[in-house]
Amino acid sequence: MTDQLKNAPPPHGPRRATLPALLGIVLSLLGPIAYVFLLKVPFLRLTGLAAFGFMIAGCVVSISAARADRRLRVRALAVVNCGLLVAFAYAMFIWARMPETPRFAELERAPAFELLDQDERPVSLTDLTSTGAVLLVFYRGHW
Amino acid sequence: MELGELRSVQERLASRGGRIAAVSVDAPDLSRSVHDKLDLPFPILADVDRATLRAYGLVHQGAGPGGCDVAVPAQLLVNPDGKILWRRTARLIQDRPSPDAVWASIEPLLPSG
Repeated sequence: MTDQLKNAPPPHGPRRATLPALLGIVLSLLGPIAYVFLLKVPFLRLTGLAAFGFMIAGCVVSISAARADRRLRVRALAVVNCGLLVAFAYAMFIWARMPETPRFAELERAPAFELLDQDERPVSLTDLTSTGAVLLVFYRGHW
Repeated sequence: MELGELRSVQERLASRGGRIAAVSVDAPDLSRSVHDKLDLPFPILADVDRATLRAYGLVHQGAGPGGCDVAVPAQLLVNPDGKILWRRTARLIQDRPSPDAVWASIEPLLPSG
């Protein structure tokens, strides 16, 4: 009996917090899912605000769990969770960065071109501006 | 801004004598399947050799499939004498303006309909 009491955790001592740590990971993973579902909202697509909300909440839960339960696996889950947040932030703001376009910024007149359209008919810039202004939309293509 | 979303801009632009043309590095047959699928009211032009991208300074080196060059997403309004009236480039890949935002930017620059 005395031995058992000695081995029992003290009242304010370590708690088992594996489940909260896992819950934190689930919350974080909801972030990118929310991002995909909210792509139609330009502000959220650009900033990832909804996703960051979920991911920061997930990290807070995981870190609290690791503070309450110092076991390696709980701390590892907190580190993984913070890693997810950093990876998402990297993808949103570093990997996704477009190159500077100084030449485009300084063009005064649109350079002439003649390109084939989807039906392989040649179309020139002057064809396009024959009736009025043309909005040229450069996009990355489909693959 | 996805190509299909530009339909509403094309309609409003057409009422002012203007039009849209999309440009990508895709070959015409690939563009045709996209064009048919989205039933676009404007052409997709094929800058396969990237000469137009280079002339406009919109090459994103090595960012395409297999490390090929693709366009930096950009929109510009050109008037009939070739002058650029308005331009916009994406700073981030997910930076796509809404069609209404594009129209709000270009509408005041167009001759009154």
